[in-house]
Amino acid sequence: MAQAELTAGEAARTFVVIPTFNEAAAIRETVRGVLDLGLVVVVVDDGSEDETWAVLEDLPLHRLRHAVNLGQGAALQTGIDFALSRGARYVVTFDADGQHVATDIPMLVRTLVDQDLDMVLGSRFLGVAENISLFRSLLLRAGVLFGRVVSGVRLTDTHNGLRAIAAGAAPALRITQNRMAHASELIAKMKRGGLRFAELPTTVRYTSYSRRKGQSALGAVEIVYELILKRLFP
Amino acid sequence: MTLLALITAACMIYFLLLTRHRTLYRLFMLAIFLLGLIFIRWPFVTTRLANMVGIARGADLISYLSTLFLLFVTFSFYLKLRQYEQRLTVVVRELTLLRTEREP
Repeated sequence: MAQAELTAGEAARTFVVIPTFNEAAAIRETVRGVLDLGLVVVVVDDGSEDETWAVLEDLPLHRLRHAVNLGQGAALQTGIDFALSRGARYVVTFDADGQHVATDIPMLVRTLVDQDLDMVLGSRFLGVAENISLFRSLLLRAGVLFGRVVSGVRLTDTHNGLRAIAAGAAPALRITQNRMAHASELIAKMKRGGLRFAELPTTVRYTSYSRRKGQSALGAVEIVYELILKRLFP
Repeated sequence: MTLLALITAACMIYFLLLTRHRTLYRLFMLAIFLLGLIFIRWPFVTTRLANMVGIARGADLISYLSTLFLLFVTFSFYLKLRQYEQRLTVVVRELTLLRTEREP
């Protein structure tokens, strides 16, 4: 597969939002991968208690910080708001722990632009899920099925943090779920807004580091809980 | 009307009052309080009321009503907490963006 390329103009208007919480160990390397592509990086420090903030000091990126920890969904929305205020045309969401591969970003944005879409989602089940444990794979796929039943959207990976959003579509995709249910919320809003979207194969790398910090089975319970309550008492 | 229908109707009204008008909510709480006083002073009233809706003892009616009341108080607190979390998010976000403006 040929490497997708973005023009300098496109790259300059592509803001990659990386919500971060206590990722001092991994964040520099994650960020470097994205910076090397000539994209604009926005790191949102969601009230980290470690040296995440300090570790990013000398890098050519935008550093934002929440005074208290609000959750990944909230951090993403803050980053998106900031990106839009700085003239972003394309906003990419990207995980801080090194699970995502930076070189997937140009491919997503290229598709977003060329096919005039509102949102492009990455899918590890269409692409590669390196070293994924069987348990996690099953859990995620169950989550995908549940998502299909609840929101009626046909996707293969509903909890992938790698997405490209067109600036114009951002208002329709406003995140109000501060914590882990934001992924489902985005998909639900995408459907409700009748947005044009596509899913592309991307890579997710599971290392022993990310496995420890990754979304646990408890997180899955929280998502279902928040989804159900939100539906009963909007 | 069956007891269940009555209770459901009462619940819905309570729910609405809670989330909309502060004054009505306060009137409602006042009414509950006065009702409580009446029940203490004239216990036979509870028996009469209970019988009207098909319950034998006044004390049983009080039990059921109290349970419902507590459930809804809990629920209203939960709603309030959620509202506060939303407000907190707005404030923290604004602070974050303001801070960023100050730094180069």
